[in-house]
Amino acid sequence: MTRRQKKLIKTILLYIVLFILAFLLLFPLLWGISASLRSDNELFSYVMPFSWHTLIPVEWTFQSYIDLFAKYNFLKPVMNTLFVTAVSIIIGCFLNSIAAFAFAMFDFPLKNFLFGLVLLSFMIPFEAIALPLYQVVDSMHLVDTYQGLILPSLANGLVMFLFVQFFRDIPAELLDAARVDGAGVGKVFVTILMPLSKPIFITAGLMFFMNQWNSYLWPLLIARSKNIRTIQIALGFFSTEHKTNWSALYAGSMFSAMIPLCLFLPLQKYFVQGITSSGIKG
Amino acid sequence: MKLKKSLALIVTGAMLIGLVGSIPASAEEKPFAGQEITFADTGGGSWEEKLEPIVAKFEEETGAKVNVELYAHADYLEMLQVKLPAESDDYDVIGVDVPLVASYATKGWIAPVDDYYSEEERALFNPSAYEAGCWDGVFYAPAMNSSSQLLWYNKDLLDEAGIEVPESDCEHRLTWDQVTDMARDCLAVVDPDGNNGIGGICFEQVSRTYQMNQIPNSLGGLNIGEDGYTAEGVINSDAWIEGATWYQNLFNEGLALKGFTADDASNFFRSGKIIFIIAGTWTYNNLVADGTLDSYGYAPSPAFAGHEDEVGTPTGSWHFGIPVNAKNKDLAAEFIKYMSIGEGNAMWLEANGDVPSTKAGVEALMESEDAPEYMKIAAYEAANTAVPRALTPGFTEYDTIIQNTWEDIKNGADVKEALDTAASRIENVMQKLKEE
Amino acid sequence: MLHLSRKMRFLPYLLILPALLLLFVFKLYPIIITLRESFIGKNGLTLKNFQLLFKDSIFWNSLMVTLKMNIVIIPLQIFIALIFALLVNAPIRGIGIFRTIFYLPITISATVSCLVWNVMLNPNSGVVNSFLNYIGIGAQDFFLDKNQALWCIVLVASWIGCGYWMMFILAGLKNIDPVLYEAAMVDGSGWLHTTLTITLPLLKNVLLFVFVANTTSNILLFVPMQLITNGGPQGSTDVLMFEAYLSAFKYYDRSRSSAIVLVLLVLIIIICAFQAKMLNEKSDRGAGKA
Repeated sequence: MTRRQKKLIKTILLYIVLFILAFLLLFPLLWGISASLRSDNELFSYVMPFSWHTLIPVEWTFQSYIDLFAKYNFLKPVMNTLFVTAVSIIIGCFLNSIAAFAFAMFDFPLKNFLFGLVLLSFMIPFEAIALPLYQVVDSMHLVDTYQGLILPSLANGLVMFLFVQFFRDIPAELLDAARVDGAGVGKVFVTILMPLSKPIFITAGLMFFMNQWNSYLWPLLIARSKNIRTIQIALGFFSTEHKTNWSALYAGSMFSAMIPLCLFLPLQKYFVQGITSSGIKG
Repeated sequence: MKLKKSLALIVTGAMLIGLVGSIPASAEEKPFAGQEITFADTGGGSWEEKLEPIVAKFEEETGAKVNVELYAHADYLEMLQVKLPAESDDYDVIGVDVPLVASYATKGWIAPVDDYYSEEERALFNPSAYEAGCWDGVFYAPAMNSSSQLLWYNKDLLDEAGIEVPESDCEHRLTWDQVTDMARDCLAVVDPDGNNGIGGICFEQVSRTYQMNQIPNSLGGLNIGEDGYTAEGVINSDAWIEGATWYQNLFNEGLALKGFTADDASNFFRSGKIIFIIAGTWTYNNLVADGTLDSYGYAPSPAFAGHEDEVGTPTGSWHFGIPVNAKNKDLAAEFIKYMSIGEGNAMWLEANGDVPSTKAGVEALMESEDAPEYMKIAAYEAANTAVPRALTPGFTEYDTIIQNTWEDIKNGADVKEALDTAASRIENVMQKLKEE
Repeated sequence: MLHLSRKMRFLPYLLILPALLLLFVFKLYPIIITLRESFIGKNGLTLKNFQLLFKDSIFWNSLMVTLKMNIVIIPLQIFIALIFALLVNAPIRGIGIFRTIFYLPITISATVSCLVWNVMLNPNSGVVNSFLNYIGIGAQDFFLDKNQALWCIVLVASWIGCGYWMMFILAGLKNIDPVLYEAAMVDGSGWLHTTLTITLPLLKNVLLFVFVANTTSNILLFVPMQLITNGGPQGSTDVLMFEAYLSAFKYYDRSRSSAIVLVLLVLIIIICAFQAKMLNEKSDRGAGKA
């Protein structure tokens, strides 16, 4: 066997392994999509015995998706979630990056102590502090408001940590030179640092996105009124005390899974870059 | 700017004067004009449309505004569990799941409503519904409606096996032996080797305390000791062991299937995958909606042979409560009265097809010629065989432990051991509650 | 480091103020409340909450379940993530698509993932059992069997999480200078050997980060228990975090919940310190050999 043949066989083997893994990972999702395209009764009629119809709908119907928006007004929670997520990303990236900038670029008294607090905070699970946090937010009269949903998620220890690691690697000469030129700190940040930091900003943005998009416990406690309800909470409304609207539940679930997918597909390259260029590397 | 501001002041002032001036004029007709309450309840996703005209009518009559906030069933109780202890004043009226009345009352989360209901008004409730809303002799939570369960069956599957369900009524019930025999014979025809995933017998609210406790109850077992705290010797009594063993055998024998859950059992029944199911009155409306009513039949809950006079059926549903920090308790009480014994109650029973919790409601149902037979059975059960869930301040803990125990028994745990463990766990929690 | 004039010496504080303020109000202050609740009883400072906890057989069962699960799930997830990362680091056409597919499950919310897996693994109506029956293996009880339930949760959690950790390891791989591989190739060492002697030691920092973050998230994992098993069957999936959740949200026993959370935090710190030590030792030995 020549070296080239060897390489070809290796590549083909690699593709086979990748395809099998991809199928296994995608199966639950494909199955969920198939389920969302069935009527409620069909869902339960074909599970046993095993046949093609266990996997593929007998009669394809988009009714559950139509119901989702026409009957259950699912658009409102989708828009709410998008709004909350967008605001969190913008403000969150800004606040964490300027703080990280200070930690990475300057020496100042108490710096290590304060940074230690940041690191500590990212080891604390949200679930562990949900109840006292509710008291705090309630005393600030932020229950059932967008602020209540957004504010607690803005300062994120992990994101700040990634920013700090990234900024530390930017050669100081680059920045010093800029200051000699007379540019103010603000200008340095905007004109030099931000363009260099595109990948890390995207990474941070995606992390904020996923946090907000998937958060369940917090909106449940804090945002239950109809007007600011988020997707994860709205999904609960398909299960009533004595009846679950399964096909609508699947449709809502799959719809809520599609949005991050569409966003992540074009951005995944930057995500890796962002982590690559931050400090956690070999 | 200045002009605008002073204009605004004048307008507000005029409105205030108008408001104050208008109160005496319409006070007789609309005693609560301009006032507002917030009413939180479960039922999100299904009660919105049903409650709307009822609330609108109340608003029309009183001039008050009622903000209705409905939550998903799975989230509602947890939400209350966070809000009530935080001394929230967000709500004036809340829906209270009946077994939690004692818990909310002992924790001081809901206020007594004794002052708002006269003797006569309290006597309007079914005694069992009234008592369920009391704790320690104080009336806290008037009932919205009650609930009951029947035996529903799939006639198509039974026909396929040539089986006809014998006639029965509340005085002459089927026995569980008859039902298991029919299920066994039917399964032998419709799903002989188990490949079709058909279950013979199912309890719709799989493993939930509400429905499962009817098994030991129908054998003479109690839910909890008289004092509301004792579990030892109650939960692991002979009646419980006998009932739980019987239940587990359904699974061992293949008559019942482990995979059905409280979330989907009703769907499987309506998709022809279950022969017999103990399920609520709401099943009827669901079958009507599916357009498959003709394929199904119903009968009163079966009895265990030898225990025909001990049949116990599940009961109880949602009551109302006024949180201690409610801002407008008078209006809240007015609304609750409307919803529990007033016109709103009648409208609600009609809209949701529920079992009444007032004497008048039950009588009306029994005498009505239009009322469907299944509702008459339910009303009979509510008045005669209903066994309220455990009356205890520790119901949430009790409920969680009992539910897990039924689940474990279903999945094959040793019955005696499981019940002993449950009893000692419940005793432990109750001990802690007593100390508080 | 940049230097600031005297006039500007407060600038760093100004920059960190908003983030730290939010961090303090919404993260650290609630922790202080938690600490206070677990140590302070009716009559001042007390250890009663911990005494009650340590006498409680449910607590010990939960602790064992938590440890049992994590001893398996942490190495397993990192091993799979490492394999995934090595696979999707291959320079072949269309690899970006596979990378996205592997990463995809984390973008689906845990509630949706649990819903889908629970239905797929249902003992008599799940598609997995339909298939197992079809090929003759026979139906399994999965989440309803006390010997299988915990491992089914491990499966679901790994399905969700492996792609996420893969991304961090992949980023580490991208940072390794290709020259090092070429040198190894010239030496004639095989793929496995190269991976073990060159790649892994160079991934030390990234692996440390992944270990710590992975440990934190898995020790605190409880959504599948909450949504699927309820801690059962027979307490076999009753992890500590689920007990804490039950105490806080179901039983309204805040002091017990706070005490459990504190035990969990101590556990996390011990495990992370242990991992850091192990990784350091390993890589030192590796370096010694080289």
